[in-house]
Amino acid sequence: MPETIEQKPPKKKLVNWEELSRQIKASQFYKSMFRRDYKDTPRNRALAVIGNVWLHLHPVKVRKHGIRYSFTWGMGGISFYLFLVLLVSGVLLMFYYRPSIPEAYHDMKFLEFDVPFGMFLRNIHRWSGHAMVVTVWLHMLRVFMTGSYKPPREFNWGVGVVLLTFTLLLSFTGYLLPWDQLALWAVTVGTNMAKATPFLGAEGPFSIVDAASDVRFALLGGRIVGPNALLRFYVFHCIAFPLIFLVFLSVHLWRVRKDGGISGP
Amino acid sequence: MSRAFGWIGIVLFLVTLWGFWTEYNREWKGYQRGFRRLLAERTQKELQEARDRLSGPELEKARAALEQAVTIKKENQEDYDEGVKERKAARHIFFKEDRKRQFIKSRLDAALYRYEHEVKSGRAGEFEKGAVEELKRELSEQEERAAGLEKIKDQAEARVEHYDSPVDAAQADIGRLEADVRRLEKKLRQTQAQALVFPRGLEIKQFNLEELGRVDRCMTCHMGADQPGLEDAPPPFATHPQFKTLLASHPPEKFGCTSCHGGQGWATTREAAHGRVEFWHEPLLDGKFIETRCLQCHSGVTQLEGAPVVMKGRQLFEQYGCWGCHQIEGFKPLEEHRVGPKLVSLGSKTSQKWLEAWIRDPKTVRPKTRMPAFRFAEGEVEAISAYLASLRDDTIGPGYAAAEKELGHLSQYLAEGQELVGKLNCAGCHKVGAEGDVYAPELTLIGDKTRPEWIYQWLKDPKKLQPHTHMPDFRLTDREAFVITEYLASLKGQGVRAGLQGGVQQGGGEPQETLIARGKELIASKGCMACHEVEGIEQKLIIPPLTGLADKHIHELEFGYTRPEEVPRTVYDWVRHKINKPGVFDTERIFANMPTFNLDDSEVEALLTYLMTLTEHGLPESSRSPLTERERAIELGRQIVREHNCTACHKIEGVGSDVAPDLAGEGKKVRQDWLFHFLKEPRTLRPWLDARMPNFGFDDKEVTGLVAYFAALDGEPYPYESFETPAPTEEGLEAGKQLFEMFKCLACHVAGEVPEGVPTENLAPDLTQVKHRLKPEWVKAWLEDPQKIQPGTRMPTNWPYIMGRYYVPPPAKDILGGDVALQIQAVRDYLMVFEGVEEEPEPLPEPAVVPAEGEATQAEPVQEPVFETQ
Amino acid sequence: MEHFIKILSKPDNIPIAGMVLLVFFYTGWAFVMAIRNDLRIKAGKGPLELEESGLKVDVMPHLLKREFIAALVVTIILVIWSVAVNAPLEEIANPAVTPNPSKAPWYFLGLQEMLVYFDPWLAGVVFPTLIILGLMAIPYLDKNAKGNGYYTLQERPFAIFGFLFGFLILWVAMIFTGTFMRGPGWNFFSPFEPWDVHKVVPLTNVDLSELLDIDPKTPWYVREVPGFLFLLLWFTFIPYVVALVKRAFFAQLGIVRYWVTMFLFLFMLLLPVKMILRWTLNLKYLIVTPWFNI
Repeated sequence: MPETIEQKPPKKKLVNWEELSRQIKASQFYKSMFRRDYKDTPRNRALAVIGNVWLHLHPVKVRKHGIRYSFTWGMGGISFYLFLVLLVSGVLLMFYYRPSIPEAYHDMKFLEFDVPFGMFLRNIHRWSGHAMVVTVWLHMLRVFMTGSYKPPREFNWGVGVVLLTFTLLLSFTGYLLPWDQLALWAVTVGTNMAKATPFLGAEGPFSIVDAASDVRFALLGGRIVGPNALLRFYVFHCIAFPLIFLVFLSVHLWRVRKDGGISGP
Repeated sequence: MSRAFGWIGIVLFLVTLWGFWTEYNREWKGYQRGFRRLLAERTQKELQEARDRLSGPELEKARAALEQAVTIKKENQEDYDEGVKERKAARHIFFKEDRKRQFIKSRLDAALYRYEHEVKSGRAGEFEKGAVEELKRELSEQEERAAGLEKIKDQAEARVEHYDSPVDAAQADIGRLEADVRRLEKKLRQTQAQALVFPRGLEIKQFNLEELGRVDRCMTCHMGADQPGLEDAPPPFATHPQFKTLLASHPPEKFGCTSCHGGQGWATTREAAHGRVEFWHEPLLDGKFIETRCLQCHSGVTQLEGAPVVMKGRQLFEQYGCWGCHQIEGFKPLEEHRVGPKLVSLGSKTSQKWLEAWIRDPKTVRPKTRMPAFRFAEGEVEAISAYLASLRDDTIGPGYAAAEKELGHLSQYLAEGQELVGKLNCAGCHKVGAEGDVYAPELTLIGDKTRPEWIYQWLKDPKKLQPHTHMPDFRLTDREAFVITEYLASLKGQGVRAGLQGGVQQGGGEPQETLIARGKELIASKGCMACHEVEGIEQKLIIPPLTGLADKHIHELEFGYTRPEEVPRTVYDWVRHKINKPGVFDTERIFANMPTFNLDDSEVEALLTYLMTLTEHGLPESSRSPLTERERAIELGRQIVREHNCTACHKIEGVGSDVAPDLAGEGKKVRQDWLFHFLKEPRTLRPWLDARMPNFGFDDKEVTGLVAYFAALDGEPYPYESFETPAPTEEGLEAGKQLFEMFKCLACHVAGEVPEGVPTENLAPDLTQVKHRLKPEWVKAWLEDPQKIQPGTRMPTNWPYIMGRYYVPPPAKDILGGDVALQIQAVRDYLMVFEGVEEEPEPLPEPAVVPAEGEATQAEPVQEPVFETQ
Repeated sequence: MEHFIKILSKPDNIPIAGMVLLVFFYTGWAFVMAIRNDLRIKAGKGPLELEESGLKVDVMPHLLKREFIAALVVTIILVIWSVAVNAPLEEIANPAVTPNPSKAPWYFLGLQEMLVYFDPWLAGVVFPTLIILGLMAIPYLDKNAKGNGYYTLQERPFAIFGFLFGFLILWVAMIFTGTFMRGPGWNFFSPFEPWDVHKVVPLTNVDLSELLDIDPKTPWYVREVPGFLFLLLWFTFIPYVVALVKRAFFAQLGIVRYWVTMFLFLFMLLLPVKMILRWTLNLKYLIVTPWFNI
């Protein structure tokens, strides 16, 4: 694969793309919005990155293996992209969803049959969520296989584990929200494990609390997976966990830069 | 890389377009477009028909009239033109003068105000007064002038109208006839605009029913359901069937669609909306199963128009005594004792051999019996029969023996007994030979089963042997009972050669006591007690309640070894096959104790439909249809009538037999207190007949239920009756007696004692009972026109009805001034005090009751109470 | 076969199938890269990444273009997936009716599978906690300076095989089992076997003390001695022996790191060991006390 951009010899085509793009770039409309005189110089390349609010997380240059899919698999970036998709689709879904019983379920039916693009929205949210869990695991696998947790990146690996935990928790809290049998019982199974916590669980070994004050009660806001749990999970899913996730994500991305960018020998 | 990027961009764009397209092109939009096209086509057809109608005779007539009017106008064109000119001038000048009048009037009003203002301010206002007087004068002059000019104007207008109005009228007629066409043309334009390929305004139509917790979007596709006139449209656009009855009383804005039909109202695709998808437990109901929903709101009745199958099923459930084993929450049978007879004194009634045949398979002995067939292991039948045959009752026997001693056995008794059986209408309940009902046990081969002593005892007093029996007491004399017994005991056949001698048979092998003890255990554990009461034994069987049967999940049902082709894996089929053959799902570990009832297919389906109403997910309480007092009374009455099979002899609500009087109008006819006592203890009203109303031994609840029922059927108030209180004068009573003798009432009517020698077909009810039995208003109505109340009656119409009026017959024209109403009242009043012919009517004592409001208070206060209660 | 397709086509199981395929694909790819690097190292050239890390390329446009393309491809996949496959929605939640089987969300199925072999406090609380803490501890326990930033197999075999054992076998494979091979009643069904609610399987289990014929009436602190002994030896004897055999490894880590590493590793291995003991000896508990069972 060529490493630098080469000018390809112009071919005879239906539309002369180069000419077209030159004319667009010379127009007033274009010039008012984008950088002008975009000559492809190293300095301009650097400025394009560090002068852009969205892109200046990147360094100006990276090591060559850092752009290779066969090295990074792109899984970290894909996970982040999926997170953005989830944010946008999640906010849109919030317009149509009420976290109470039985409105939650009926709103699901409403989305499925009535709301324009309702089913699509719900689908993309759910599948992105599942996909993100998978891509996060693959990212973890890659980082391990390239030994990129070794010094100086130990702390970042720990932050990553926290992010993994929160990804799973976000998926778990979201799982309850449709309030169907699948949701209710999956969460029941999941939260019943909390009952068995040693000391702080009502049915764990050496329990010192009863069912109305144990860890599970704190998690569910009650002794059953009921209206309190639904509301609590909704708040966790939409506000608390995303915020915490974003905090840790910022640290994670910043540490990548601080630890010297993509790891290498 | 750039090329890859370009291609990926294009793919993404195409995929996005695909996403948009699937989203836009929803299934229900296709249906709505189809509906609009249908409407456009229909409008087109209607328009065509209207246009065809237009070229009819009416239009010709109207057009001719127009022609004529126009011609006349043309012929008198000069006159017309002149008239128009004249009219214009007359109008012009009139309006001018009239305007002047208005100005003067307003000036007058202003002047009046000024004057008043002056006076109020304390000044004399002479000047103003003068102005006022002047203006008043001017005004009246002007008014006169204007009035005159108006008359002239009217005349001028009339002259023109003379020609114009026929033309206008004819045009209006044509316009009216063409109105349909014009309307339809407009409608066609609209509907065609709406039926374009990409029309506007396609939207989901929904009913948001908050109290019911449902949202129904069915009408998004079923767009024609609430429009009458589309009955022949193809589905899904057709008008709802039985539109006027069903939809009118259950408007979809209040009830939605899914409350009756099931399905998933939220959905907008066909499969999902019909609910036949995974994870939706309320699929669309088919055919008769829609009736299961009726019971969710109409839970208080046992008879409902439009839901015959489910109501039959409920009846079967009650009649067959299913509730004796299977409880259902909220189900209460009318009578709470068990549906089968008490198993007592069977040893004195029949033989062990008969019992064995019966218990083994009841239907072979008596095809229409409700007793089911159990599945028995070896020797169980013999044990049970042995136990039952050991139950004896020694009080049965002496009665028969005494009668036998007195009467002996003569061959004539058989014919006498048979005749009596016919006259008493035993066939109304029992099947005897080819004829009769299956309500009560079949008597065709009763001689094989039952001992004569028992039959005799039973006929004399059924309730002594079976306290809850529905068999009534016919007040038979000893002789009557004996001859009937002789007759019935002669009814034998090849069937079970019972050999009624000897009681408990010696079984082979097991000693008798063990057999009897084993029989007792089996009775407790096989489920006999669900239908039969047996002294000293309690049921030891655990039976699942049927509450919530329709909610059962398919995984909760055991299908045994049956294959899916034999028994489809649905709840409906499981229940259906279970009722048909309870043992069908047995396996090594599971044995069904339930016996087989051998119902026919329609009964099984009806019962199945009823059982499928048993769900916990009903509609909320607020949607229930409450019964009025009157409806409740009618409901209870119907249940009692059904329970006791009154229609075996009587016609009630148009259904039943002719043996006894038709009870239509009974509520208006008889007094409630009389009816109460009569039903409690029926007395023979027509003693010259052998047929008699037997004594059913009703309890108070049943009797008041029946009285309220008849009252409710006729809209009579219950329980507080009020009568018009007759308050006759002496003169009135004399007149009544006169008329009474003139009409020769006693030629037919009995007065106290049945006369000898008169053919009994010509006798009529006892008039001395009128005061106790009949309502005074009814007597009046009856006297006036008996045919209206009971068409075909032999009671003559004493006051003929000719050309809309009742006339006084000539012999009576001087009585009470020939007034029909007064005469009727006089006869009625006389009947109210009639005691029979032997005695003179007693002198009228002091009144004990205050005359009702509105009735003229009499100068002579002497009255005896005109009715006594017994 | 239809049954397998039926489970596979349930909407929520598609990501699981995808995950299994992807995990295997990427693990394979990592191995290919690692082996390639190992060959280069053996030949004395050093790993490929070493050669490449000398060169630096401009982020704009090289990295950004690749990132953007990745985002577009992911979007295409998501859109097609979201238009074609609908998220599941079963009946409205009903606390009175428990579906059979009731499964946790797929990413927790590994833990739910563990519940078969361990009590909830272990399977649901202790193990997950140790997984998280253990993962976080990896960088501090791995003193092998080799393999930092490039693929290699031969330079860090213990790390790689230990991790893959935990990840692929004890996590991903358990999720696969929990999805495709656990049916009603959490009974075992082959992926091609239809799920029968009424299936009855003989499942009588014994405790260690019962296996060793100790009288159940003896007080627990005597009766469970064998179990305690087993655990004690498991966590002390085995590390001791390994330390003797692999002296260099022990020396590299030092006593503390070594013991923590062995503890975590052996704890992880308790799961397959318990599973094998259950399958072979029908063993339910190693230790039974009035307060907890292991």
